[in-house]
Amino acid sequence: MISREIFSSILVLSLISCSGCATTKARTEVKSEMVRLYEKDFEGLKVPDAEKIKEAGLYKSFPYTSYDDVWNAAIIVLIQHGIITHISKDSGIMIGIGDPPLVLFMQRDREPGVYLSSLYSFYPKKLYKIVPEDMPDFARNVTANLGKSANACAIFFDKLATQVYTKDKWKYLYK
Amino acid sequence: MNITKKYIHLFIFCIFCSALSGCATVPSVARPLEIQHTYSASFDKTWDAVLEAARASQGKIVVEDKASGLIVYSVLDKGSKAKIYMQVLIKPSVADKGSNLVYIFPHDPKGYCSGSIQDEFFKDLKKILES
Repeated sequence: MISREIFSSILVLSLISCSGCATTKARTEVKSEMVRLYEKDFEGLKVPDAEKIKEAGLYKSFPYTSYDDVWNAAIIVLIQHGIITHISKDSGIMIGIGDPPLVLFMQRDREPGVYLSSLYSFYPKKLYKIVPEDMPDFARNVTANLGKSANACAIFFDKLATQVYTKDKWKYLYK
Repeated sequence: MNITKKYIHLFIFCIFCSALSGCATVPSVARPLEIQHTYSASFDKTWDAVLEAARASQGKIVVEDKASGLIVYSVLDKGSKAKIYMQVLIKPSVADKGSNLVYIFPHDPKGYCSGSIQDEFFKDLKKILES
């Protein structure tokens, strides 16, 4: 009778200790698309088509200026927003990975016009996955960033207009 | 009696002065960041020099578009070991024809980072252009 009690208590104790070991191996790290890209220096970043950017993006025209003026101003504003990970003057597309990541398409028309959208519009599901704490801001708080996108586009256009019409004014670069 | 009164007045005056000096603060003046330098070299030569500076710092080229004048490369900061993206923009100078403006705008995971990294870059670039 006593030995049975001892046996059962040993069994319970061993089960408890085993259950402690079981939890660690089951957890696997899930990486979001943005974290994976950041770790690989944005190699393999998918660039959306111009037509898709036009569909998803906000538009602003810049009268009385040239394509080159707006393009150069857009670079200056975008490098202050984040890291430019794609740029092609021929296609008119550039991507700036900031908070939130922005993609821009510039149309060669009678007056230059810019279509601007959040990159999240083109990578929706993968970005919701868990992200490690030490990752940059653009990779964290993705759900919050989705709400910020429209606001970020409006701010970008405001800065771009200032940069286009005041030429070399880097008004945001003060410490 | 008069002498003690004088001393008391002097003492009060000293306290008043020291209290006032505590209020005086040096105003902090916003000053532009040292993000641009002008080099009297051709666009092609400046472009090649920036690429060489990137290679010399063991950087990995992320983006290069000569038509836009932009080179982006990543380097590891020696001190913090953080990955820094160096964004270098080369533009022909309007004021000084034949010269080129070089802007640098480094980003680390927390956003814009300033400090010695820009100074080191401009020093290296100058060395390469003069050699």
